[in-house]
This record gives sequence, C-alpha cells and structure tokens, in this order.
Amino acid sequence: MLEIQALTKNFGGVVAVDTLDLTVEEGEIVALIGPNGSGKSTTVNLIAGIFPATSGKVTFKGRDVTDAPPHRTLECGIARTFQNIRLFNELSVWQNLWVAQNAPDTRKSQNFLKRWMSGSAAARRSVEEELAFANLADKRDELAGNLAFGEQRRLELARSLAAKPSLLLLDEPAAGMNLEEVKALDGRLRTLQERGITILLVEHVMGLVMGIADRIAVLNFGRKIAEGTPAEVQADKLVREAYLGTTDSSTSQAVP
Amino acid sequence: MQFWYGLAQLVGVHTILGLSAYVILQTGQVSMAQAGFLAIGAYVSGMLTAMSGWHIVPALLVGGVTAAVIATIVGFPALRVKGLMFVVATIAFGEAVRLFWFNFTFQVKQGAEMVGPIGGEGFKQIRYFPANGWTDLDRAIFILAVMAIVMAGVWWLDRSRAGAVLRAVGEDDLAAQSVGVNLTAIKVTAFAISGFIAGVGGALYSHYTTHIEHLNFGVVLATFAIAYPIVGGLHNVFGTLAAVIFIQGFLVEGLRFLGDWRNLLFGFLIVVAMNVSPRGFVSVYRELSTYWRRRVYGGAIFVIVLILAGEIMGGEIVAFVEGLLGDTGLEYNHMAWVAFLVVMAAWSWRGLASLTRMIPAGLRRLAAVFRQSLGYSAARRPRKVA
Amino acid sequence: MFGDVSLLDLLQAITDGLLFGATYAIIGTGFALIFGVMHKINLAYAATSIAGAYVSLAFASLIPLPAIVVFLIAALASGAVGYLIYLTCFRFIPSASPLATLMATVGMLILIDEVIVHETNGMPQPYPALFDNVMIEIGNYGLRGDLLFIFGLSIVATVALVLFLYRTRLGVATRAVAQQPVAAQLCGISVPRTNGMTFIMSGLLGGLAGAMTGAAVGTLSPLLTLPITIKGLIVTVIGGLGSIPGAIIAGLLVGMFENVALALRDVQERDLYVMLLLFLFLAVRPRGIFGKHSTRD
Repeated sequence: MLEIQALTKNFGGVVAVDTLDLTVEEGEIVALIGPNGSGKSTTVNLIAGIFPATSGKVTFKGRDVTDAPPHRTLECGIARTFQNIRLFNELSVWQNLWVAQNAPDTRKSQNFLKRWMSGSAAARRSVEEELAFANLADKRDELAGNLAFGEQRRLELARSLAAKPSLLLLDEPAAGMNLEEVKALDGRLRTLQERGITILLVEHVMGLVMGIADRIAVLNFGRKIAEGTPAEVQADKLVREAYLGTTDSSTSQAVP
Repeated sequence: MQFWYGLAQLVGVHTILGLSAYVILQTGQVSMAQAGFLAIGAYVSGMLTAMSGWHIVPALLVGGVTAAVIATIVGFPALRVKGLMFVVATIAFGEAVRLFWFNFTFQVKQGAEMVGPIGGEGFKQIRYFPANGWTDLDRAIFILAVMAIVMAGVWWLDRSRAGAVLRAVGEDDLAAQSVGVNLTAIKVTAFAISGFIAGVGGALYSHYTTHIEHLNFGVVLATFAIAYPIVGGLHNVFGTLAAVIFIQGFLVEGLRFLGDWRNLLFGFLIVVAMNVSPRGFVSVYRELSTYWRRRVYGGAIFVIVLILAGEIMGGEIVAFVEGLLGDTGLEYNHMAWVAFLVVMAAWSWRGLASLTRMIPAGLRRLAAVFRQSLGYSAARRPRKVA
Repeated sequence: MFGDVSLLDLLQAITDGLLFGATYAIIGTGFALIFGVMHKINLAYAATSIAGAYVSLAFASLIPLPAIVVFLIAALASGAVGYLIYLTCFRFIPSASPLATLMATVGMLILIDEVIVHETNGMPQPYPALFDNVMIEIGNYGLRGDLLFIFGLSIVATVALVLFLYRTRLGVATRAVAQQPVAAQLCGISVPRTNGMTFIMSGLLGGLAGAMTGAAVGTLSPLLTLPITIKGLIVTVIGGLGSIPGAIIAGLLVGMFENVALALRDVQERDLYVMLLLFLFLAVRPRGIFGKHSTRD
C-alpha cells in the first residue's frame, strides 16, 4: 500500500534520512524504531508532506505522493499525529474534531454553504463517533488546552481519524504514558486494525512496539539497519548494539 | 444632541472597520490593509452616488464587493508570507492604494459644476445624504443599523464551522493543514470577507463626512483598525465595539478638554491597557466577578440617563452644572463620566474600601516588579499571607 | 524614462543613495536585533531614534558642543528610551500575546511622538550637520562629505556591534537568549537583564541613525517617525527577518534605489517604486536576502 523508495532528506549538511526503502502492506501495523536522531520523525514528516524530500519516491496506493503537501496527502488517505500534540488549544474538543472533518467522503455530503455553516448531518455523526472512540463524549465542550495529558493524546488520535484515513502515521503516541495507558492504547490500535486501517508507528516504548507490530524496521543515522518480525529484530546483533541494548532487560518484553 | 449623533456615526463606522480587521486577525495574520479597503469602498461608492446618481444601498454593496475583489487578488500573493512580512506587505498595499487615489482624477459635469475626485484635493461632493433630506438622526440610525448587521454577520461566522476553522488556522496552521484544511483558500477567503466589510464601512464613511481625501486613509487609520479588535479581544465581536467606544468615545471625545495632550494620554492608555489586559477587554470582562459587572453596567446606565436628561430637559440642568464648573474648562459631559466613577465606587461603601486597599498593594507590586527588572530578587522579606 | 538625466547624474544619485542608505541599514539592524531576540517587532523603534536626536538637540542648544558629542548624546538618550520601551511593552506582557506587545509599541510610538510635538510646539528643528561643506570633487561628480561621514560612522557602529555580539560575554548571552531562552536561564543568564541590554544596544544604534538622518536631511521633525518606521520594516523584510547582514545590505539597496527613483522620476512616485521593490522581493524571495530557510507553507 505504501512504498518508500530511496527516500533521502538533507537539512543543510545533515543527512536525516538516507536512501530509505520501506514497504507497508495493507492492514499491517509496521513500527519504525531507532535511537533519537535516527530519522524516524523526519520520515513521517516526509510521508505526510510537511517538507519536500531531497530525493526518492513515496507511492501510496499506486499514486506518487512524494511532493504532495499535507492537505493533499490527507485527501489521498494518509493522516498523522504529532509527537508533541498539536491540538487547537483554544477550541473545544468538539470543535477540534469538527474542524478536521475534511475526508473526501464527508466533503461530498456537504455542499459549499453547508461546509462553512453548520456542517452536514453526516459530519456531525462522524464527530460523535470519534468522540465515542476517544471516550471524550462528556468533555465535548471543554477547551482542548484544559484536558489532561492522556485525554489530549486520545483527542489527537481521534482527530486524525476524522479524515477517514486508510493509513495512519503515529509519531510516538505512547510517549509519557504509564503502563495502564499503554495497554489502553494497544487496545485502541488493535480496534483500528480490525477496522482495516493500516498503521505506521514511530515509537520508543518497546512494550507497545513488540506487542502490536506485525513488522519492525530499525533506523540508525537515517539508514535502515534491520527489518523483520519482532522476534527477528530483537535477536538481531546490529540492532542490539545500536539501540535495544545487549543485556537481557525487561524493556523488550511485550505487553501481555 | 448633534454631538451624540455624530459620535454614534463615528462609532458605527469605526466598529465596522474594527470588525473587518477582526476577521482577518482570527487567522493569525496582522493586516494593515484595512484602511486601503476602506478607501476603495469610500471612493467607489462616492463616485456611484455623486456621479451616477445611485441609491445608497446598492452603492454600499458595490463598494464592498469591489474591495473584496481587490482583496482576493492581492490576497493570493500576499498570504503566501506570514507574520511580519505580511504586515509589511499590507502596509505597502495600503500606501499604494493611498498613492493611487492621490493621483486619481475623474470628473463629470453635473449641471453647472464638475463633480468627482481630483487627485490630492480629494473628493468633495459626496452629498447624497444632505441632498436627499436625511437628518443627522436618520444618518445615525442608518449607520448603526448597518453596523448591527455586520456585527450579527461576524457573530454568526464566529459560531459556525467557518469560524472554528479560522481560529484553528490562526492558532496552529501546520496542524490545521495536517487535518486537511486548505490554508490558502481559508486565508484568502477571510481576507476577502474583511475587504468586503471594510469596503462597506468606507462607503458609510465617505457619505457621512461628504468629503474624503487620500490622507484620511493612511497608516494611522490602519493602526486604529487593528487596535480595536486587539484591545477589545479576539473572541467576541462585542469586544471590538467596546474598544471602539473606549477609544473613540472616551479618549477622543470625552477627553477633549485635555486639548493637545489628548493624543499623549491616548498612547499612554493604550500601553496601560495592553499591560493590564493583554488578551483584550473581553477576557478581562469574563474574569470580572458579578460584583464588578453590576457596577460597570449600573454606572453606564446612570451616565446615559444623566446625559439624556441633560439633552431632553434642555439647557437648564446643563447651564446649572456648567455654572458650577465655572472657568475650569470642563463640560457637562465630562461630569457625567465623573459621576460614573463615583456611582461605581459608592454603590456600596465596600467598593471604596477595596480601592483604598488596592492602591498601596498595587504600588508595592509595582515597586517589586521594578526592583526585579533591575536584576534583584524581589523575595527579600517574607510576605504577610492575606 | 531617463528624461534629461545624464549618466553622471545617475552615478551621483546612486552614490548619494548608497551613502544615505547607511541610515536605513542601521535602522534595519536595530529592528533585526530586536526581532532576532524577542521574535516580535518593536514599532516604536523609529520614535526611539528620533527622540534621541531631539534630546541631543536640546543639549546642543544649551551648550555648544562638538558635533560628534551631539551624536553620542543622541545614541545614549535613545538607549535609555529603548530600555523604557522594553519595560513598558515587552517585559510584562506575556510572550503568548504578541498582538498586545504590538499594540503597546504603537501606544509608545504615539506617546513619544506627542511628547516631541509638545516640547517643540510642532515646529521642525534644524539639526547640525558635520562636514557639510566638505565635498570631494572629481570633475562634475562629487562625494558629499556629510554623507561620507555618516557612512563611515555606520561602519564603525556595525563593527562595534559585531564585536559585541561575538566577542563579549554579554553578546554571547544575547545570542543564547535569542535561540533558547529557557536553556539560557538554566545556565544562569538573566533573561530580563539580557533583553534589556539588547534594547539598549538597539537604542544606541537607533539614536545614531536618528542623528544621522537629522544631519543628512538638515532638520528634525516628528513627521519623520512614520516614513522611518516604514522604511525600517521594508529593509528588515528585504534583508531577511532577524538577519543583521541582510539588514545592512537591504538598507544600502533601498537607499540607493530610492535615490535613483527620485532622480529619474519625481518625489510623489518615489515611494511607489520602493513599494514595488518590496513587492518584488515578496513575490520572488519572500524570506529576504539572508532569511532563514522555512518549512513549506
């Protein structure tokens, strides 16, 4: 579904992503791991179209989206969350979701005037569904900036679903979460997978990664150094040296 | 009463100008182009009524639409830049519009005279209102009605999905883009709407002053335009109205007795207002307790009653009070403002008592803050816990 | 288009404009300094520089002083005014309210202008010029002595600024605070004090520029504030936000361009051409000459 070929990004003299090749099949959950600075977030930004790539190609469902800006990639069906939660803090929870109702299908249900005024019934239903998914229905009028951190993360995830994406790019969704919250996130991601959404996950919390990923790709200094199932990657020597650590520690245990 | 009709017209036009800036400010872009759009609306509608005999209402609309069209054309390239660069671009646009009208001459012969704008001299014969027998009161009501319609429109925009999208763009345009909002379309549309509103306001302006020239539409007016929504607060159209009344009513007219020092006080009050209420009057108002809100409303009503009484009962009350004031140069209207403050404080004597506590506390805080600014730590002595 | 302007006149116009452009360069540098550190614009800056020039004039009318001292007084006075603006507009307004800061600087601009108008009764005051009777002549082409002096002074001021920013502790602290205010605090740098110093520095520059403008034009008037502000903003944008070398080059460019436009066309249209230059830059290179690379809009 998503094909990345020889993707490269230079920032001045720094090569953030170095000829990356990666394929994500439909329905998979693929995780991208690696030490800080290895180019994981940059890859997500490149796919989403935040900045243009220096070279290489990104193909999604057969279409070339290499240079497409963010709202175009969204139209194609790729949505993303941000590492450092970028909610609209001055808007309410409901409004955050409402502003995001920009999926091609939802758009078709509203003519121009409706989009600007009150939105169609279909859009409102969609917002209600997302509120339910994020468990925030009772907080709908609360300002997004006033929510607790865990609630903000849930809202961020729900907002990315508003575009009815087929591919979800998640940038460190479990950062700052305790074990309970990670388990809940694991459950939510499995639900999304059941709905048919493909997920590309950038993460440091190995408990989540090892438990939910179908495949893992490991980056270091912008290059892919390993790829495979969780078991394969855990056993890989290069990966252990670069990132996971060579002692047997509990961090590599999957979430039960 | 003429004075109040004139003030109402001024407040009406300036509120419309402020609302025009309000719309574009919500998207996070500070635009100094509003005075330019005002100018376009003013000249175009003036030409339509004075030179082509149009009725005022279609002239208003055409003035607004012309400004909106130009806003769209200018908006596309201008909105590609952000922040300060956009400010400078809009200043340049405003100046360009002003220079255009400075060099623009177009006249038609009407009866015995030539009518139309003449470059630097301006456009002198916009006599629609007097020619059609509109009294001061008629004009004031008309302008306030248009202002109310514009306010209602912007209020509705705020409540709609469009308003939420505008504010989302203003808050974090990268996130907005990432959830599918087309930034250029939204920004240009907001700019066009603000252009339309300013154009309509300009049409009203040219008709009630009957004489406009390029100097009226400079950077100073553009600064006023953004001052109103910033001082008033960007969350609510009533904030802009309050700011216009504060700035135009209170400062410009009410403090006329200060004569030349008026502008100085104006600048000073703006600085103080921004330090005390950086997010605008509306946010301060929201934080006022009911106690204070009652006093503000009550005092305002009392003042309005006093002023109306002065006008309706004719000169006797006014003459009496002004007799008391003698040669101080103060007027009856200024006494009304003083009465406002007295009423607020005296509603309950607690109000006065709290004032006597607030002043030394405020001075102490000021001193602490000043010491801090010089690099010393302010926490030298343990404070009494209240 | 060239009308009756000869090549020599053109060359003269270019040189004069370039030399006078040094004032714009200094103003642009002052703007860039503040923008680079506070990430907000100080619209009262032109008022700062004019105010300093007036103060120096006040001193000069009381005691006869060598012109260079007059310039110095202007710089010092503007430094003080700059600090005042820092206190009233930047120190206490939360950084999350850039609009409030903007408005507060506008308020200060109005305040300072009004004080000047009151003290001088609105009459423009003559300003002493230096070396104005000196002219280096090469045939019909002349280099005006007073403009050369201004240019030279600007070079000295710029070099001093660069040395300050890169060779002194306070300069390093300024740059640190500009890049990472929180981290700078953790390193023991007092952010309010450093920012205050930045405003004083930019005020010193502004005062010099104000005195230079007064000297070159021959008179001082509060009406100068608005055109200086606009030119300063244009120079900052063309040069690239927050970039000092950019501001310098842009200032010289604008000065030269403006004077050439004046020579080829008349006074009314001169400003229009400067606007066109600005639009050109915004359309072709929005981030200015040395602006930082920004992410795709």
